[in-house]
Amino acid sequence: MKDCDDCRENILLYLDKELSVSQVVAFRAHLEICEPCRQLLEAEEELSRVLHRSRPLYSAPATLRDRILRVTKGST
Amino acid sequence: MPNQPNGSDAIGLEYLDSLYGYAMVLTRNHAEAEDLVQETYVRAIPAVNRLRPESNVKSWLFKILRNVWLNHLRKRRTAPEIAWDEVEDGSVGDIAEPSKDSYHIFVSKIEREQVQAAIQAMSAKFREIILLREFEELSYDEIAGLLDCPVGTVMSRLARARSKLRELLAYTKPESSVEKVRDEGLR
Repeated sequence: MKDCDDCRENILLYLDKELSVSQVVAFRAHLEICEPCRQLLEAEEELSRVLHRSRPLYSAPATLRDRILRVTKGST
Repeated sequence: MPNQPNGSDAIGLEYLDSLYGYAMVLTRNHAEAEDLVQETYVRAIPAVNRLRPESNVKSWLFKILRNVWLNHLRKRRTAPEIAWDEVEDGSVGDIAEPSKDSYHIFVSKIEREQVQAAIQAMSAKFREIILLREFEELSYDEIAGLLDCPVGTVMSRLARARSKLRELLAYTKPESSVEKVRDEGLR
């Protein structure tokens, strides 16, 4: 891991477990020596948790379900 | 789609919430979102038999919905990028309640409302990418196909959208009702 820019570019891939083993090693090595990047990773992890807790963001109203069934009835 | 009945059963209503969520982040208006979802089903059903078995039905439906929306914007004779952010904000929120005790339901509801408000305060492109990746869990490749852009664009846009969202949620946090309720709940 060359610097903070590389680290920040890889944060989402790290959270998605999309980094290769060697990339993970370099990523973690950088975090050990870089407090700002560590804090950024924590913030991204917290955001992911908040978004996950907020699922589903919207639920379709029952009236829409009825409407779709009515409109599409008999369609091919 | 092989071995599927006709009509709405051919697609199923299991994608209804996802489609409605996508429509809500595009339109930010309940009535428009409902119309958009209805039109998506109306267009999709006659075409479903032409869908390849290995196709991702949800991505396909999202693509139809997005195209319908872009067509609506074109009919309004405004450029999509501009029009997306000129749409009136009529969002209120149909909030699905998790089955927890009433206190946790209340806290969850408030947190979800804050997340909804923060997302709806962002630009259309940011709202869209957050919804597709963080709520609908489409892969980067699927999102790139849907938005017709390179995967690198998807990733950089997502990173910027998440950064903006963190900023918006942090901005509301000192006033956060969630924290307030938690604090009051401990008294």
